[in-house]
Amino acid sequence: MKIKVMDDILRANDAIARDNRNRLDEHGVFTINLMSSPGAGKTTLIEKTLDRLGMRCRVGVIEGDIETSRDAERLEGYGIQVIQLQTGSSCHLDANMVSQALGELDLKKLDLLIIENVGNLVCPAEFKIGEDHKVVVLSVTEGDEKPLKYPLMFRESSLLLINKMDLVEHTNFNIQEARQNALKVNPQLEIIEISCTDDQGLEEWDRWLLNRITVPSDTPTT
Amino acid sequence: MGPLAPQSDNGPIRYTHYLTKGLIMHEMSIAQSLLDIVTSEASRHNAKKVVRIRVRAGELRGIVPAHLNHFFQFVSKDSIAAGAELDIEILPVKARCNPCDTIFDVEDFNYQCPQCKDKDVETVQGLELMVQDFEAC
Repeated sequence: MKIKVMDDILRANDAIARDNRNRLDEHGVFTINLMSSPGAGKTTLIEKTLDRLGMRCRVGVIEGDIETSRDAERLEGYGIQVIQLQTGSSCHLDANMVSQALGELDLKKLDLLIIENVGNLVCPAEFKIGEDHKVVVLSVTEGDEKPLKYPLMFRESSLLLINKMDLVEHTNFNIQEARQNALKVNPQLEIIEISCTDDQGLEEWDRWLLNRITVPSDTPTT
Repeated sequence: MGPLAPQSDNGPIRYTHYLTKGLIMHEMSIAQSLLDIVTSEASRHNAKKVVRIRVRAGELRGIVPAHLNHFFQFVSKDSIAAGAELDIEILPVKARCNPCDTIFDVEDFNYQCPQCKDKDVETVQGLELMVQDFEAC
């Protein structure tokens, strides 16, 4: 017999992702899913963001890593809510893992949640986890052709951060080429060039976040 | 217990060790979800054995059919879908231009309308990941 199914294979994941999103929305937590290849500078960017915005809003971080908790340890000194998710050998976070992490967070005390996905330009783009926006980091030590090689990642993201701009003159990374490739795949993509070493572009990144975060009026800002 | 224990009970970091079933690629997670859907539908229809499954995957999903097939054979080996043939159809990317409604093939991931050159376009095909149907006995 032939059995008709016509079912979305990721339906279960997407349903949990919607549930996560509802939980986060209920508490007014703006959530980004931060993705890149390994070593593009996601954790350093989170440290910088905490330095710059930590006094203006309440930030929580979920760190996705395959095995270690190094990234979460780096954030330990900030006194914020950090959850380390070790994915075993999985190359991405899925909605169910994030749902468990949300259970560990006090969402009432958060305005911004940064979820650092596993370093990988392929698989994380496949799995919705409940984020408001996907943000992809591409560093100039990688290739400017990456958006064409990993189109789903750049297509699904709202914002591209081109990182390590302080190093660009030492590489053969062509910024115009990278921008064109990214905008070809996703004409609506916003792009900010940044460096976490000399802080260029970080004000624009702050603004991008602050324009989207709702900070309750009774939250102490100092 | 995972390989890493919490450093302290009161510290700001809590470790949630999430043990997966040894997943290594997105095709593996997808194979597992596919198996869950097929086995639950099969038992609803009192099927004894699944012999062939048709899957439609949009090109943007980046599915490597050989990988998906390999992982599916692995996860299904003790189920009624063991040995089932996976027929994976890759659907090319198509988009619709919002201003002029033209539907066009997106070649080389170039999201620009060939008619009016506008870039306000939406993907209408290429993101699918569907179990279409399966043959069982």
